[in-house]
Amino acid sequence: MIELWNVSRALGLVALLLMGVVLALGALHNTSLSRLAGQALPRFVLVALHRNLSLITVVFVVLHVVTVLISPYLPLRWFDVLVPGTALYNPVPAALGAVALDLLLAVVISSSLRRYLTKRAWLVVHWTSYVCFPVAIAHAVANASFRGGTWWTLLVPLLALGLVVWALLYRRTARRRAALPLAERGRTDPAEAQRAADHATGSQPIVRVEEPAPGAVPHPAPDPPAPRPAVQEMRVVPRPAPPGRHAVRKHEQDRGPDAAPDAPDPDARTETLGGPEAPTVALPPRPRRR
Amino acid sequence: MPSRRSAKAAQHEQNKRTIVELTAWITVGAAVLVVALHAGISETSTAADVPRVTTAEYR
Repeated sequence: MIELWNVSRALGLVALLLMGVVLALGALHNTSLSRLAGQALPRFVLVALHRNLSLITVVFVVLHVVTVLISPYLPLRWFDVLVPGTALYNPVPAALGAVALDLLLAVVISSSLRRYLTKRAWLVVHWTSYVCFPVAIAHAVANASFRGGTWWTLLVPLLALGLVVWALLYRRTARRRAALPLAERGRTDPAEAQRAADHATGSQPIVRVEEPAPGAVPHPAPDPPAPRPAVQEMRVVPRPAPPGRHAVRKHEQDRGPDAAPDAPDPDARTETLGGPEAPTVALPPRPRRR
Repeated sequence: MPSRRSAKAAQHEQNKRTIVELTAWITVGAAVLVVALHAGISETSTAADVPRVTTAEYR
């Protein structure tokens, strides 16, 4: 049974190391290093690796908790690993571990339910992993025995901490896009949305030149002809829908016959971080992926 | 001569295989590390490393 306690310690150390790797991958996202690696591997490979390793980390954490619970050397009850401060033995390190486990569960569950959350809510919960990791490090250090012969296991949390600190320092020093305030994230620029709509609908900018009406009397030629610009008006008009596009036709019918063709669609809105005031493109719904 | 679309699809499949292989190799490495750490801890463990166990019980 003493081996089970040692296995639990080893599982916890490996879970901590994996958590450091996952956090470093997340911190290095969208930095020059990830772009450099993206030349060999596409970005979605790195993102998928971040996600897969985080799930493997959860598996190792669960194994660590289960082996601790079934080990007879620690009088821990099942709720001691979830509720901080309830453990009778070694209360402070156990409470740190419970807090780290709760934060990890929050990150995992919010990521699993990401499609039902706004991006801002998911991001706020996801950033708690930056709290979970130091708490887990403190849990590992507090549980390590400084008097026994396994003091060298402190090297593992030290290694994980160094990896994450290096990733955060690299992220801070690397050239990235200017960070947006949290309240501004997810907002849609109307001009950018219009350009995306033009691109999606295939609208092409055309030049319209004002022509005189058929019955209008032509103006007498002015004495000094004023210099006319080559382009009088440039407007973006939608391309006429092909006969088979019923979805587009239905969408146009929904707007009503009185709606001007160039007026912005009042229903063309989407849920963004900034609320419903951000105008976006009106596209037919994409097929749901299973 | 494969078309551009088929080459892109083949590259995408290769990237997906890369994700699976990298994940599998890292998992295997983590499992090996667990075994190695367990062996190291068992080798260097003393009575002070074991909670609620006296030295005599540990021996």
